[in-house]
Amino acid sequence: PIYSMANFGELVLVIGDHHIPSRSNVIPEKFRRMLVPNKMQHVICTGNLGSREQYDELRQLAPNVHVVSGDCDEMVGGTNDMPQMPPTRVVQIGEFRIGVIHGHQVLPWGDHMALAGIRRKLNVDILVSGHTHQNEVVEHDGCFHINPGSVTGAFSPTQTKLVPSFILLAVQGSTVVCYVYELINDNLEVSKTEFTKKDISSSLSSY
Amino acid sequence: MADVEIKLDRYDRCYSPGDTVSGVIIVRSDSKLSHQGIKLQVCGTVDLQLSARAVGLFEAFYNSIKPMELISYDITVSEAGRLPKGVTELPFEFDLKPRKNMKLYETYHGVYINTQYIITVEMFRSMLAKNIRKAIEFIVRIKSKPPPQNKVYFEINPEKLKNVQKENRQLIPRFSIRGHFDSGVCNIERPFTGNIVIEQSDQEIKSIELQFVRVETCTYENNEAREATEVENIQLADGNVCHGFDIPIYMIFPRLFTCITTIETAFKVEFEVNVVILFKDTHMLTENFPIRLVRVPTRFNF
Amino acid sequence: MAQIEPDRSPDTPTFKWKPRQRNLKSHTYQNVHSQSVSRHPLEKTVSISNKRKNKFEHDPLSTDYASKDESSDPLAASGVSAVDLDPLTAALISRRKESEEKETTEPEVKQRFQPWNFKRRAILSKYTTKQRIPVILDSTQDEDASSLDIPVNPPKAAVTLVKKRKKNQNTQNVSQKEFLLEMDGLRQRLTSCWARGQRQQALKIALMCGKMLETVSVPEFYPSMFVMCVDVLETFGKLVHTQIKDQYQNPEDYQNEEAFYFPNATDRAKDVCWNWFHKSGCIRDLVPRLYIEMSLLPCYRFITDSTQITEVMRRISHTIRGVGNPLVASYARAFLASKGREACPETYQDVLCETYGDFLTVFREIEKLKFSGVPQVVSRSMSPSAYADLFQPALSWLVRHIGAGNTEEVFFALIQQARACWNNASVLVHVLGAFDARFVSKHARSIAQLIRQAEESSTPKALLYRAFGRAVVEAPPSQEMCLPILNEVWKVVKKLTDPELYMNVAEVFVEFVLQNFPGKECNTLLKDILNHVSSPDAQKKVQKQIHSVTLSVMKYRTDFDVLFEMDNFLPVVDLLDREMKQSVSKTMLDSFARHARPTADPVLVNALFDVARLLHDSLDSLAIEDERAQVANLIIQFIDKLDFGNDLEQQLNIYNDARRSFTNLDRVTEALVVRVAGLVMKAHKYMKGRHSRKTLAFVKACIAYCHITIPSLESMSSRVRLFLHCAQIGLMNGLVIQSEGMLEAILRVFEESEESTSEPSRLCLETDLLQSFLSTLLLISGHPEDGPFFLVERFIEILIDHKAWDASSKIRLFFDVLSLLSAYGQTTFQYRIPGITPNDKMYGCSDEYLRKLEKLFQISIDSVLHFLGAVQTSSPKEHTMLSLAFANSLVTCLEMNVHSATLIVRLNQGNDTSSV
Repeated sequence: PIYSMANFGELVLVIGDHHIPSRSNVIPEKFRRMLVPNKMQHVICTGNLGSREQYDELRQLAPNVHVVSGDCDEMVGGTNDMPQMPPTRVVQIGEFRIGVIHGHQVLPWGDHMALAGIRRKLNVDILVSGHTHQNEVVEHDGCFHINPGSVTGAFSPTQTKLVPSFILLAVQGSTVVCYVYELINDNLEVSKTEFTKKDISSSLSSY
Repeated sequence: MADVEIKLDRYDRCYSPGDTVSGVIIVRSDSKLSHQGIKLQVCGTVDLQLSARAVGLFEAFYNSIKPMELISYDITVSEAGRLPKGVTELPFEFDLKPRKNMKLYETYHGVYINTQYIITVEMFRSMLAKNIRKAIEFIVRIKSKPPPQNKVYFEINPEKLKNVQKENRQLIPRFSIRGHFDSGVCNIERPFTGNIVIEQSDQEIKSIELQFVRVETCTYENNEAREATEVENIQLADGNVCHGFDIPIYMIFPRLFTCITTIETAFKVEFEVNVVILFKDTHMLTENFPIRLVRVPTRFNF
Repeated sequence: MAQIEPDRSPDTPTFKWKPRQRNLKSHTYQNVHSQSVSRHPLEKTVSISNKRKNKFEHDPLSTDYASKDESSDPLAASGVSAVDLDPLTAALISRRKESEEKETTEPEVKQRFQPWNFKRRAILSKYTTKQRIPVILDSTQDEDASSLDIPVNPPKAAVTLVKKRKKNQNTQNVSQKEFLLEMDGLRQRLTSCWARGQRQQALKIALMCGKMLETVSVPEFYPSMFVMCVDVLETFGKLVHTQIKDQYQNPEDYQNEEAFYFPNATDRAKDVCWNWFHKSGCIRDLVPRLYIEMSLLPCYRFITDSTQITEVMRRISHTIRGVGNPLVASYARAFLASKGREACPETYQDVLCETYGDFLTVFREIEKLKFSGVPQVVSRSMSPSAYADLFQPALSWLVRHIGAGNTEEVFFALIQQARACWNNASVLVHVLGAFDARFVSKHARSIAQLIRQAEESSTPKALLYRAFGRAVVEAPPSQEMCLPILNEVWKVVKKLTDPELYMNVAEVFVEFVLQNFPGKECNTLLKDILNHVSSPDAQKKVQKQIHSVTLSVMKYRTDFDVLFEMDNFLPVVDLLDREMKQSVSKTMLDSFARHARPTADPVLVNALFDVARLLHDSLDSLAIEDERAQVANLIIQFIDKLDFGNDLEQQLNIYNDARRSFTNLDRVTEALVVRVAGLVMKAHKYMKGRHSRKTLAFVKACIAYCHITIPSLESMSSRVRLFLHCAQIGLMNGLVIQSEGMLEAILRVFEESEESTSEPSRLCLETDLLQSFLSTLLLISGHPEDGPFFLVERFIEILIDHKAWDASSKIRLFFDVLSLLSAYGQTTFQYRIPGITPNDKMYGCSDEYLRKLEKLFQISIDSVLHFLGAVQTSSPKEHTMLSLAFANSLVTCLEMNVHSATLIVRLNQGNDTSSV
């Protein structure tokens, strides 16, 4: 039933920084109602899930789940029997190469120059990162930096406004529509950005 | 290479008097085959033989007993001619009827008496080639009317023993054995059934057996030669059985080595069963019962 | 993108190294193309049931489809046809249905029926002997049937003395082990003979097995012998069955097994089948004849219907009465049960009821004769009860066959028969276990009385009560019957003095009580247990049962308040030895984590704390890592259930207790630090970021707790990770000095790692930790005396001098330092924490500030060049890669001017750069 939506391309859930249970108890109900199995083909997770249960829940959502390790994944303290995740991953979806990193390694956190360095190192069109708990969709040198924020709106030293958010990508060939889901004062707000992959030569020349 | 085979229509090759025996002669040849005629011979005989034990007494007639010919046919299946390469089936049939003044008896393979029916096919060849012969046996069974039910009851106790003198009777252990056979006239196609109960026995029982015996008698010039042989022996109980237990008697009559009870002037085939009880002290108790076998075809033969 | 910017106007000081300024918004097109949407892919996702649907209609997400803009809503289009019931829910529902179905059919499926193989192993391991067992090596005796010495024409009735019948059996006595091997060989011989077409030979082998079952020379081994012989006979039966099936021209044309059987069977198949029954029918000896016919019993299906087969079974059942040896007869009966089930599953049970009656009759007879027919009992080499025990597997098998799915009438018939014939516990125990537990439960009281009256010979009554208990646990009787049942049973059971027997019953009845009595009854029963197994000797014997009792209690009393209200529960746990107690403690904590609500109840907390402490203390230095991890997890889960709500002080106290109690487990200590740090954030949230004096004192206490606790951890990375985490939390709560203290502590860990032999390499690999550390430094304001960069300076010093880190790693870390320095040079920092004035605000990029920064740039660049030199000699390839990466790093971090451009160009040319 999933692939009957072929004309809309593949749906990719980008989500992360749950910090359950150390910083939050649950994913907000309004999000949970939307995040049900058999909608998405991929889940990309920026890490810091917080517990094995969260990981297992992600795996219910889609056949392909790509998770990277966050700075707190080693620290939850005992109950955490999460499988070891790699610090970075690269996933090919449609015509896009998508790189994933949690983001605590980025110096300073959330800096696009630094992110661009990682993006180039991974040789990807889209770099997904988290850690800052601030969602972002940014075009940078013809490529894209995406940060889904924290799905639970968990606290972070660099963030004062705690807005739960995640991102959904609808990838169709060389086009991606990027939906940002935010809960602002418990009201769902969705915005979208559409972008098309520049052909290879132009993206090369931009560097 | 040529080969001849007889195939009867009935899978079990069993026929009764009056039946039509039919079948085909199958000729297989890897080339065209010419022959001088194909003939079928049907032959049924009773052979009488006397045992070595009897030979001393009756040497005189031992050599003179001739087989009795019950049935004899010569059938031409095909006149001289040619057969094509490959498999050829030549049908035949004949009525199962005895010769004049004769009777058909059941197929039977005894020790001294043998009743047998054989079909032989012979293909005559030109002078240079050997004739081809093949023979098969078919089985004759004589049907009877259903026998009347006559249960046979028996009771064995020391008082009834015939070979023990009165004064010795107290030496024999006390026992009381009771039982019955469902019929003294038995359908050969059904098992022999009944029961036996040990009501009392001072002495431990070692074994209870049912012995099935046939008695063959040949008559010649007012002399009789009688021979009894055990056909089957079935253990009904092994060891000291519980007193009062109703133990079934159940014996299937063996095929071919048994036929219906046949009493003729020239020969007789009769049957008996013995109930044999062995005691632990090696005493053996036997009781003998003549039975008559008949054949009533049944759908199930148990 | 990279452009060389012209030098600034002359009035501003020039810097050799100046951080490249970035416009934080310049590359950011966020929400430029972005538009707010009312339609999106995740709309209208669930509609589990109509009820839910209605609920959703009030939800802004599930507004009308009619106006939907398909192009902006890929999911909506599919949503129409996709799922009325989303797959997850559907799967859940179907699974539930399945389990419901399972529940209803279970009693039938289970049928209290263990397959033969299961019994087989148990029998083989139980019934063993050291004696030698006679084995028939070659069987030619079936040929000699005609050579008997019985006169064929005796007088009408006669008694004679006969010579012992000669037996030309070739037997040999072998050990048990040899016997098993021999039988295995026999089975292989059977199959190989069969494969070669030697049917007659195969039959002979099967006959030999039948023959071996005829005599009981070593009774204690007979059950095992039976098992082995039956294996061969079963194989034989299957081979014949297959042979008959092979008579069918195209077996694959038959859709099912039934199509092969009567009345559909072909004449050929019937004929082959009859031949076998004729062959088996004329076997002289009773026992082999019986076994051969029984092994061929399923073949009767080719030639007749189940009514007739039932008659055949009945005849065989009767014929077994002729088997004088009771042991031989009872195992023959068991075999009949097993084969009868295959041959006519619909009716075989009726026959077996009679068979069961025969069994009872024989046994009554044995008892009447006081076992005088059993030489082993007469010679006192075996006790009557040991002898009776040999019958148990056969009896159990027979009764279980009768009981499987059978009716209440039959259940009572069997009990009646046992009462009338042989009212023995060993019969009753099987009958109680074989039928639907509901029958037992329905008449529980009268059965309890019956048990009291039953005679004990080989089976102690306790086992009967146990079987009875199992039944009433499986099918609970009506509520008003429970107490009378318990009283009736306990009247007898409490008098049991043997602790093992007592516990066997108690184990089951504890569950019964747990199921049916909500109140103190269980505690009373536990008290009774404590009284019965007071001696250490007794305790040793019943560890398994006590263990099972404790597990039952925890299974049914998942409410821990209720559990600990039973003051006898923990004392019962105390009866267990160390290992068992450990396992129970684990189960208890696990159950608590699984079922209990978060609690603050002091009694409960204390009790469980004791349990957790016990578990913790039971770990010695030899405990394996898995074990430690498991225990640590359980303790952490337990700690996480302790919840004092808004009483954060109390929560901190309990974490204090926990720290003292679980010092051996670093994982627990780590978790505690994280939990305490969590408390700080809880207070922060509660106070909306503005602490009162009281809460400030509290968060200080928390941070102090962390600061004191972290250094006790063995793992350096854990220490760094936790210090970092706590420092960040400290900063968020305005505890600048405390946080600086922790960041300094991290530096000390780095220094310390120089000496440590085990960890430094690992620490170096975890560069992400160091990177995160550096990023954190950006949050810290400068020190009034030590300057704005005091921590970075310290870090650079450590980095340069660190003896355990290799040159390449150091270079890479310097790239990170350069990134940090560049971030320090921005007029506005990437991020800041409210309430803390970072360097950008404090120094406003003053010249002095930039000078200091330039100095650090210089040191860093020099260091990189220095270490590059070291790498160049050892690994030129690595050198090239690092040089390139360095150039890259410089482009990102520095403003382009003559110095930086020259350096980069030279790096790219691979020239010697040591003189810059």
